[in-house]
Amino acid sequence: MRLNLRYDPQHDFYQLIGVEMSADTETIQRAYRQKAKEIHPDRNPDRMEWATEQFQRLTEAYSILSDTELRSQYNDLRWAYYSRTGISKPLSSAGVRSRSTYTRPRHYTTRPGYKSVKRRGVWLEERGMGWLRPFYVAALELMTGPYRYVMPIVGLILLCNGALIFGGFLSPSSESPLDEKLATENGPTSTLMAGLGGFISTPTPAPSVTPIVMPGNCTQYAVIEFPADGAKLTADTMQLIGTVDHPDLYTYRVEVELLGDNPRNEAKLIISMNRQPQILPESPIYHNQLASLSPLLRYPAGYYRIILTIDHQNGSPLAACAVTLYKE
Amino acid sequence: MKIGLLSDIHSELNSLELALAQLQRQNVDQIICIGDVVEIGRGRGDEVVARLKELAIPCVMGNHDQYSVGHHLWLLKNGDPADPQNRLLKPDTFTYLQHLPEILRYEWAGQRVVVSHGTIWTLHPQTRPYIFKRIVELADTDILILGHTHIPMRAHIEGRWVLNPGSVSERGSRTCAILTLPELCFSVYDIITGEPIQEAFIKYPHIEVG
Repeated sequence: MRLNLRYDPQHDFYQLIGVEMSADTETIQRAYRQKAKEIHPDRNPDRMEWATEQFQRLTEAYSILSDTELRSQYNDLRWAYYSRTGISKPLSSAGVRSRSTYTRPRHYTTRPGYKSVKRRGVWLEERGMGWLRPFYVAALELMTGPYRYVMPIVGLILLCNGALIFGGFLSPSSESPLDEKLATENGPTSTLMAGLGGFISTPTPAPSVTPIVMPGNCTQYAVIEFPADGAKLTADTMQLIGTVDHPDLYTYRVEVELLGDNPRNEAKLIISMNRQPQILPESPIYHNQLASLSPLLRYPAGYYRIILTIDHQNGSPLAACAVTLYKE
Repeated sequence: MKIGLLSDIHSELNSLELALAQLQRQNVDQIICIGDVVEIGRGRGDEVVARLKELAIPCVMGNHDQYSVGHHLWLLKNGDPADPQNRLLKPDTFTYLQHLPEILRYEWAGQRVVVSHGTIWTLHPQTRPYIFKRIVELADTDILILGHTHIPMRAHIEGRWVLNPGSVSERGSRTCAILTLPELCFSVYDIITGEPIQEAFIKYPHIEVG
């Protein structure tokens, strides 16, 4: 370690050579040569003394920075200096880590608006405004403080909100024929809701839900065509063919229940298949394969019930169809 | 009853054959595949599916199977048929993957068993206990068999079991597992060396949900 190596903030080596702290050796060398040509005493005959001094410093700086070991020591000293004193770092020291302590930015204290608060509000500050005073002070500080340019935008947003809310109150109610229909159907309660207009949004009516059909019957929306109800399941009838068509079709679900040796037994759900909604909304399927029953190959012989359900987007079942089969 | 479990094949035909050979050497009564049969743009997925169909191995839908089906549909709609990169699935493979079930329930030797890939029921050894508890209660079963994590695991959750055979693929643990019922013996085997492997064992006898 060089004993007389120390950091002098007046003559920062990096600033002297004019490089970043992260610069590599080649960049430093190039910058040093450039700088040396500029301030060589032979090139500055009119200010010989200054040039000689600068050139000496430059040479010293280069001798330190070109040596890896010395340079790292110098960096440490430099970093220690800035981290200890808390002075903002020089321009060319991009590599120096910034201080962890927070100092208030200059414009927070020396913004002209802050001083004029006192000058403008002398009378009101002395006299007060009664119980309105804290609101007044707050408003004044907002309008004159560092956020004064933001406040008009905030005000505009608030104004827009107000317009939306009160506009909903004042707008003519029950514009859509659906609301009118609801109003006539449901009587006074619904009229009250319609009178509130856009302020309280009326919930959209749930889509008409077709009641689930009991096993054995099928609606026109979900039909199991093959295998037929009560058929025997063999290895070659391992696919379920049917039609699925509903205006609110989202997905359909095929569930297989195990009934055991008696079709009146309590059912146990064994397989659930959900047709993944790859294309939304799911396009209807006519007379096509709805599911593969091949997992049933590994289940024991007995009665099985296959249930086909159409699901709406909100998860409610729309229509269902069920067949009972016997597997040998 | 010996049940062979294999999971996460990711269209690796060689790994599947290794696992099948290992399971057949142990004389299993039934083999179950726990999802992720194919993967987009990798290996020979069509042949893997054909092999599973040929052996009539029940399989559940994994996340990669879902992706493959979606990718196939997307390619049909938007893909350039002249581009050799756009490899479509065979029609049989597509139908098979499309109709894979999410959940299979069995009842063997008085034990209720649920097989699911675990796309949404992902449980790995670091999962917090109350999540284990919640999912096991949701599945409503004695033995829950999952895949998806590629980590062989056996977890004892308040008297119920969560089992994971790991993955047979090169990216995973390269293991398959054998579950023996009603003794409830679960052992994991390396598919290359054929030797038993110590799986992650987790025991939560009592979980407080606070």
